[in-house]
Amino acid sequence: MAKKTRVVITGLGICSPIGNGEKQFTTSLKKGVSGVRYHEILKRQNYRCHVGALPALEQAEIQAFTGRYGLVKMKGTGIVYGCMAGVEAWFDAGLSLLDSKSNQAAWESGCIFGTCTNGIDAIDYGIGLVDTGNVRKMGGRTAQQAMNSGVSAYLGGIIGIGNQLSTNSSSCITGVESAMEGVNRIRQNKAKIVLVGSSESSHHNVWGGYDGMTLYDDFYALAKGYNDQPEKASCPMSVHANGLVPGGGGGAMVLESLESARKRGAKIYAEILDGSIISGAQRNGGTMTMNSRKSMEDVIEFALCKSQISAQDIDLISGHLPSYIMDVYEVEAWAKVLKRSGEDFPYINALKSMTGHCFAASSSMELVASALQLHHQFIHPSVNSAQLHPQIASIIARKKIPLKSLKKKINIVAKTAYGFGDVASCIVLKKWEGA
Amino acid sequence: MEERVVITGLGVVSPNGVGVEKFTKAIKNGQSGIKFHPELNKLSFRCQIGGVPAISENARQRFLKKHGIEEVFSTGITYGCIAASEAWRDSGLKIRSEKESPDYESGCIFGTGSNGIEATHYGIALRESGQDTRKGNPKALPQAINSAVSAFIAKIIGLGGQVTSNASACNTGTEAILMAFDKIKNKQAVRLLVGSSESNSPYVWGPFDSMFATAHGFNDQPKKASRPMDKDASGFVPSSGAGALVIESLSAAKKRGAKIYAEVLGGHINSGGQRGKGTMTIGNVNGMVRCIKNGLKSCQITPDQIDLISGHLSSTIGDITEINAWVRALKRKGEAFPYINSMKSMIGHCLSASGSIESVAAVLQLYNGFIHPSINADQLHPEIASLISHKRVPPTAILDVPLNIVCKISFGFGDVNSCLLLKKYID
Repeated sequence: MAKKTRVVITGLGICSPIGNGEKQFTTSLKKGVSGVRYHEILKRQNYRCHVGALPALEQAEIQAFTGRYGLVKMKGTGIVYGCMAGVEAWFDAGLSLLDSKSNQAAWESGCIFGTCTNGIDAIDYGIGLVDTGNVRKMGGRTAQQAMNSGVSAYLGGIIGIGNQLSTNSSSCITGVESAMEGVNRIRQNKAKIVLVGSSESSHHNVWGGYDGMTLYDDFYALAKGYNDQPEKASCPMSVHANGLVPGGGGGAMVLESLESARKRGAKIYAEILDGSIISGAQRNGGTMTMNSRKSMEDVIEFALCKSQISAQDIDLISGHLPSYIMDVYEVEAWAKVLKRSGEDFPYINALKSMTGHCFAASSSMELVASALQLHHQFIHPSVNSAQLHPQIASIIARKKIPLKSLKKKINIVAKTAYGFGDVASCIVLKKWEGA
Repeated sequence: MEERVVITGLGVVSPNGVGVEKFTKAIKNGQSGIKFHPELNKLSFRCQIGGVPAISENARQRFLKKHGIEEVFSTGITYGCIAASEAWRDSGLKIRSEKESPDYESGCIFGTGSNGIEATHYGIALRESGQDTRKGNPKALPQAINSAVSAFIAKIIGLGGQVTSNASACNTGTEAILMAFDKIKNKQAVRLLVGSSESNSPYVWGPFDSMFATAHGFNDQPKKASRPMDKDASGFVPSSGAGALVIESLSAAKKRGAKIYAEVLGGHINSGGQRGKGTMTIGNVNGMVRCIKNGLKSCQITPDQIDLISGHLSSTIGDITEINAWVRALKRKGEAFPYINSMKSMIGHCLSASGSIESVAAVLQLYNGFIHPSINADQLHPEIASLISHKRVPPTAILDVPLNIVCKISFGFGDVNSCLLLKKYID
């Protein structure tokens, strides 16, 4: 078998509820701050859950960004988050934007940037006009923001992408999937560099939809009883975890063949070994809104096998861990596949404890966090997990779920993401040691 | 050794025919699926015509019930599921019961641009109504997320491989086929159910109407409105539907004795970078030329081998750019230009669904040996006429023609391109 092309991460960008930009985000990660806030509009709309997490961006900051890159009449918050993260990652990798006067594109550079619902801001605007007979007032900038691929289309224009330019969607595994599609594209020798990532709008309509939704039986999806203590609401692995906290944001990574990165003398954050993406097909207990236990386990096993690592190699698990019963199922899946428990269990943390669940954006934000932890050799805390769910406490030693940031030597991080439609993913990252 | 990749199943939900049999007949006859829609008139749309697949309410409900997805109210998801299950059955594959394990060898890449529109509208209307938002339909939201169509298809059939939805505007359908090709060729999957679908909704069509992208002056003669390459082409006709294909490795297809419609040789996916004359909404011709050239090169096909081009050709100013790109890339012009036709002449522009519906049509032409007409190209646009002979744009079907290589191209907003090469399958 031919040797796989090695793929490395050379740029990171983030627009998250706990910080915009790699620097601020890293500081927040280490401190374990929460980005979850009370939102009056959610109360006014009579939703159950009034807490949510969105990037702290001043209107002036957004205008400065959209002005600089010619994003006219930009309504899509998710598109803005994605473009901010994408552009940051691109510059962080030491790459430059293609001259706007060029008549060629950057043919070797691609972009696969996912989302679930970025179009919602433009769609809401459009529906209002169509319903009142004012369709003609919509203007020429709505279609491209309403369409699902809006975020990649805007990023392509800013950067001058000349390779594949596309948007992937697979609910909450979208971020991991975009990274795997980028890895594939590079391994197939079809692109040298691929900007990957995902973003999600923070429109209250996105959150409102989840508010009225049940995940199983009559269990409503969002966190309950935390409207007066938003920072405690997202508490993955805790006995108090009772629903996810909706969020918005964007995460981005520049992926590149090792050869290309070396040739450019690029900084390397980490290497992506491999990963797996499967579906449980809503069988064996899986449904549209809950994963089958079997698919949760199998995807981990497949990812380890493809990455050619053993269970013992894993130092840290960056969990999906959305802050409800799924947390327990996930920990059980890991323990079963790895055959590790107690103090032998790898460290495990949930970024969602700080950022809430940013849906399609979540797993790319978590991959950015994973790359940063590998690069700076630390493990971020999983906040609000002081009182572990008893089933989790029976599997994992308390100290493996850090409540405070730890300085640790870590070599391998495995990241899982699960999503609606019973889709499952797992990807393995390795510390870059100049080898 | 790399795998050869073939197409073994087809499904289609098109404005001029639902199901492969009806669709084949319609495209042979040059039958238009475009109609006047009084609702668009009431809503003050400029363009009041469009393409909607004819599926009765009864048939819709029967289908959803049969497959245990009664909650689906998104038209795009419905079209996608109908086309996908037709393709799967057509390929001779079995739908796994709910008690069976998922099929890890088979995945799904089924794209869309705006299938979520009905569920999103539902949520917004609920909010605006002032009713208790807590009393909404708890099964509405999953249909608002972009990957819902692939998730429902996987549930119906039992697909356990990668299940995802791609999106690259009007390029989506053709892109999905090429992504599947790459995965099978590189042995990441044995078989993928691919395609794309688009909802039928004034909320999908509205933004295009407002940007003057749609046909004008044809509200009283809907069948004449979509006229790719014609001098009077005035904008595209918005439309909806779905196309689906089962793509698998030749070895897997042979092993199970499947019918093989055509071989996928490969192709190329790129973007013009919104540079040169390219913008968010108009393609950079350099990107298109490169896409065609690299597509051919990757399959070791020379320009003279192409028998038929299934164009993107949406009945806009973009038709001229496209013909320019073909002539530059192939160095063939006048009467030496390959046959070229536009599916959109009959069904309008199904947006994200267009690439897969048109690919289904391309495969049917290869397999059955005919070329469907490109209707309404009565008088070529002068710039197009200066490049290619009118004889290469068939006004009626050409029957009994041996086709060997068909090239399908799609473009989309964001300045994205896909070029797909299909070959008649010979054992």
